Amino acid sequence: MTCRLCGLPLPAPPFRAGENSFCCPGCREVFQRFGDVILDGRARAPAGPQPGEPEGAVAFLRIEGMHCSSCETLIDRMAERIGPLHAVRSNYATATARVVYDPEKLREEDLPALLSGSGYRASLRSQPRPAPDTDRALFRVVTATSLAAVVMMLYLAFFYPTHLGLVDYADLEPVRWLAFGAAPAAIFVLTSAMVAYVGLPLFRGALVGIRAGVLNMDNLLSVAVLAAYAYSTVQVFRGNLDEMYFDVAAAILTVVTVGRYFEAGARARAAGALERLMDAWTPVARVMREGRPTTVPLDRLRPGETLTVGPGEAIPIDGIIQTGNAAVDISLLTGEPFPVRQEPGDLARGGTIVVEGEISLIADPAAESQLQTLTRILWDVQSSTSGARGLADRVARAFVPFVLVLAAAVSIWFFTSGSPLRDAVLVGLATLIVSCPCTFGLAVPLATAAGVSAALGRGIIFTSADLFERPRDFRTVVFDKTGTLSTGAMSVERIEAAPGAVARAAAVERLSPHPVARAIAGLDASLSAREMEPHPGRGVIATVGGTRVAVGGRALFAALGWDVPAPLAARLEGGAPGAGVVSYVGWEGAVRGGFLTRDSARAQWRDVVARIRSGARTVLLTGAEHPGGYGPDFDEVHSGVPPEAKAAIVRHYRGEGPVAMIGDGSNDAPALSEADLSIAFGAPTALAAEAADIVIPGQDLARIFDAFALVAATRRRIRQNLAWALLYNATAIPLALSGLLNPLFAALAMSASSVLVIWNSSRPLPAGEGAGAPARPARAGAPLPAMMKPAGE
Amino acid sequence: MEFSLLTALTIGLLGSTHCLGMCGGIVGALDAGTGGAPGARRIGYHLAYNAGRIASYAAAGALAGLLGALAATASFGNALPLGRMIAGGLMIALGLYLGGWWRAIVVLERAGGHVWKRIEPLGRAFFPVRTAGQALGLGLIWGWLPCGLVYSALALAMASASPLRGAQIMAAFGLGTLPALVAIGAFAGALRRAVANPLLRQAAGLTIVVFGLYVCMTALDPPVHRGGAARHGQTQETAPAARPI
Repeated sequence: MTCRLCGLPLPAPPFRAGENSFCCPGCREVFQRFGDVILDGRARAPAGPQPGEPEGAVAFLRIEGMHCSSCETLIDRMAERIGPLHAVRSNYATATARVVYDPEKLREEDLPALLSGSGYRASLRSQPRPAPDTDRALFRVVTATSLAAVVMMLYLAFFYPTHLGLVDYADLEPVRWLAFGAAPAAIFVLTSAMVAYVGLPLFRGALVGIRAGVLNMDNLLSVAVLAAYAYSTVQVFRGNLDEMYFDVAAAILTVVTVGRYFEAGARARAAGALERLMDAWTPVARVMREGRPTTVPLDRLRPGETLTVGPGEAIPIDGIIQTGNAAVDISLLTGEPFPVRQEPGDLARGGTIVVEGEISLIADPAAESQLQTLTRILWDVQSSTSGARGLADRVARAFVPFVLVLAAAVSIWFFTSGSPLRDAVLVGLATLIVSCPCTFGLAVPLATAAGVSAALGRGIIFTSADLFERPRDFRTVVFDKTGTLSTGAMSVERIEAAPGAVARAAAVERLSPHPVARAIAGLDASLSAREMEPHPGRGVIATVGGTRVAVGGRALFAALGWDVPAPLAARLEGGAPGAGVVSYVGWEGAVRGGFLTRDSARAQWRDVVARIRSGARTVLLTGAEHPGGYGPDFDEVHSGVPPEAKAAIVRHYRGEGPVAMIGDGSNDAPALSEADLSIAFGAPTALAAEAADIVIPGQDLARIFDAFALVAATRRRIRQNLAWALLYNATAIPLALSGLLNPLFAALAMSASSVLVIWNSSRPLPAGEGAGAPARPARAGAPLPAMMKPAGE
Repeated sequence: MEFSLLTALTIGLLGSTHCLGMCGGIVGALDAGTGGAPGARRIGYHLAYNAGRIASYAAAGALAGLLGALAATASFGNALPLGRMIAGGLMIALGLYLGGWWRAIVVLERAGGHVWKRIEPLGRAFFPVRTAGQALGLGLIWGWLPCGLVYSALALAMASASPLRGAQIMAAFGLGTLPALVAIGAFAGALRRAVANPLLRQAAGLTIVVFGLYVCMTALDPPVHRGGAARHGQTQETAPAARPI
C-alpha cells in the first residue's frame, strides 16, 4: 500500500481519512481539500488535446539571427500582431519558423519582409541560403580577446600587485604618471570600446528578452557588464582607482563572446540533418508559361500544369511522369540506397531527388508530398513543448527573474548588514553572471535535434517528441508478422504444373488483386483471360481461350466438386504444413497443377528476433491463420488475430510491464498506438507516423537496434544536459551568494557550462551497428537489457 | 553563506523529495483552478503561491527564533548548545524518516495538525484561485501545513536564538523546497518516479542525518564567530576584488 496522494510508502499505522490512507498528515489535509481536483487532473493529464490550429496556408521560413530560445517567443509574439498571420511558431534549434497565414491577404513572398526586423532576417526556404556572417563573428572574437588582453595586462602590471599587497604604493611613485594616469585612462578607453562594440550582440539579446517579456541570459549578463562598467567609470572620475572593475566587464564580454562563437558552430552541427531536410523542401516548380520557362511557388501551380525537374533538383510534389526518364534518389523516403530508374507513367514522389536525366510530370495539386509530411512530422517533434522540454522551458523563463531578485536581495542584504558597497555590488554581480539559464533552455531541444538528425542520417525517423521519456526496459516485444518479419509480398516457391497450366493460371490471376494472385500472375504473360468471377477467400474463375479456368485454394475445388490428386497435394502441402499458401489450377473438371507461394521473410529476421529474445519475451502477432515458419522462434504466438484485437492483446501484455511493438503501421496502427514504444517499418506516411514513435523505411530489420541505440543515447544526452543544468546552477548560485565567487571566475564558469551543454549535444551519437554506447548492465528481473544494448554485441 | 542557512537550504532541497506528491498536488490544483490562464500568468500564480508559503515559513522562523532568544536570555547558560542539540536531533530523525528507517517524526506532524486545524479554514477564502493575490493568500495559509520537514528546519531557527536569523533560516529552507515544487506538469511524473526510488530517498535521508550529526557536534563544541558581523568580515576577506591597501 502506498499513500493515496503522493504514492510514498505508508507508515504504520497510516494516517486515515475515510477509506484512504496517507503517508503523513500533510498529504491527508491536501487530499481532503484538493483530492477531487488532483485526481481529476491526473486522469485528464495524458489526454491533453491539442488546441486546434487556425486554418490557412503554411510556410516554413528560415530565420537568421536567432541566438537563444527566448528569441522564439519574441518572434512569435511580434509576428502574431500582424493580422493576416494566424500563427507563427519559430524554433531556435533549427533556425526555422512555421507560419500559418491567410493566402487571400498575403503572398508567400511577402512573409520574409513581415518577419524580418529587430535583428532577425527571414528568408524563404526556396531562396538560396545566405552566407553566414562568420567573418563578423570571428572579428568580434579577435577584437574582444586582444582588447581584453591589453586591459588585463595593464591590471597585472599596475593594479593586482598593489591590491594583493605585493607592491607598496610608494614604489609606484617614480612611474606615477603611468600607473595613476595613463594606465587607468587606457583601461577606461579600451573597455569602453569593448562595451560599445563587442557587447553589442549581448545588449541586442537583452533588448529582445525585454521586448519578448521573457528575460534571458543576456539580461543577466548585460546588467552585470553595465553595472561593473558604470560603477568603475564613476569611481575613475572620482579618482578612486581602487574601485575600478573594468577587468570584470572586459572579462565577461570576452568569455561570453568566445563562448557564443563556439556555440554557434556546435548548434549547427547538432541540428545538421534536420536543417538540411527543412532546406531540401523547396516548394517551387519549373513550368512553361506563355512559351517561356518560369519558376512558380508550388501553391501557384495551376491544375494539370506540367512541371519539369532536372538533374540535382528535388521533385517538389507527387506526380505522374509524362515524358523523359531519370535516375532518382529515393533514399530519404524509403532508405533505398541506390537511385532507381523512373519512366513515363511512374509515380514521382515529392522529396526524391533527380540524379540523372530530366523528367516532366503532372502534379496532383491536392497531394501532400511525403517530404512535406515528413517535414511536418519532424517539425512537430522538434517544437513540441511537452514533457521535460516544456518543463525546462518554464524553468528557464522563471529562472532569470528569480536570479535578478536574488542578486538584488543579496546585494542589499550585504550592504545593510555592514559590508562595503563594493562587496555588496560584487556579490550581486557574481550571482547574475554565474547563473546559467541557457543550460535549461537548450538542454532538451538541442539534444533532441541532435538525436533526430543523427537518426535521419541513418534512415530512421523519430516521429514522437516524448519518445525519450518512455520506459526503457521492455518486458515484452510484440512483432507483427506480415510486412514486418516478412516483406508482405508473396513469391512463388514451388511450381507443380505443366507450362500450359502455368500460362493459364497466370492469365486468370492477373485479374485478381490478391497478393497470392499477383505472385502467380508474374509467372507468365503469354495468355489473357476475361469474364472474371471472384470467389472471395477461395479463388477466381475466368475464361482463357474459350475454357473456364479455376485458380484457387482447396476450398474452391471442393466447392466445384473437383478432386485434387493426392500425389500433387502431397508434393505441395506435405513439405512444411502451414508454411505457405497452396493454390491449384484446373479446368474442365480436373485439377491440372498447383503452386506453393510464401511471403518472403526479411533477410535477418531470425537473428533480430533471437537477439531480442535474449532480453525480453517475444510475441508474434499475426492475422494469418497459421504463423508459418515463424512460430518456433517466439515465446508466444497469437495467430488469426483480427486488426482490432491486436490492440487488446498489446494492452494485455502492458499489464505485465512495458511493451514494445514492431509493425508495419497499416493494419496494426491501433496496436502500435497502444504500445509503450512502437516502430513501424515502411514508408513514412502520415498514418504510420501517427501510429508509431519511430518509422524505419526500407527492408533492414536490424535497424531497429540502431533505433534503440539512438533513442537510448539521445535520452542519455537529455538527462546529462538536464542534470548538468541542475547541478551547475544549484552549486554555482549558492557559491556566488556566499560571496566566495569572483565575478571573473563566475563568467568563466557560466560560459564553460553553456558550452559544455551544447558540445555534449553536438557530439556524434554512437552508431548502432558495431561501435556504440556502453550497455546498461542487466538488472535481475529487469527485462530487456539486450534491447538497449548497441547492436552488434 | 552561513552554515545554518546552508543547512536549512539543504533540508529544503533534499527533504522536498518527500513532499513532492503532496505539494505537487496543491500546485496541480492551482493549475486546474486557473484553467486556461496563459502560461505567464500561471507562472505568476505559482510564484505568488510559493512566495506566500515562504513568507509563512519566515514568520514561523522569526517566532521560533524569538522563542530561542527568550530561552537564551532567561539565561540557562546552556540554552544555545541545547537548542542546537535539539535541532540536530530533529534533523537526524527527519533524515531517518526520509530514508524510511524510523518514522518517529510523524508524532510531530500529528501535533502540528492541531495548529493546522485552526488555520486551515482561513485558506478556503482563497479558492478557487483567480488572482495572484489569492495565490499568495493560499500560500500564506498552506505554509502552516503540518510537516516534519518544516519542524526540523524550525528547530534550527530556534537554535539561532535570533528572530531575524530564524526568519532567514526558514526563508533559505523555503527556497530549497522550490525546485521540487516548480517541477510541475509532465515532468513531475518523472520526478515522482525518481523519488520513489528508495536509493535516492535513502541518500537524501543519509545526507540530512550527517548534517544533523554535524549540528550536534557544533553544539558540543561551538565554533567561534558565528555572529552576523563576523560573517561579513569573512566574506570581505574572501571576496576576490576586495582590495586591501
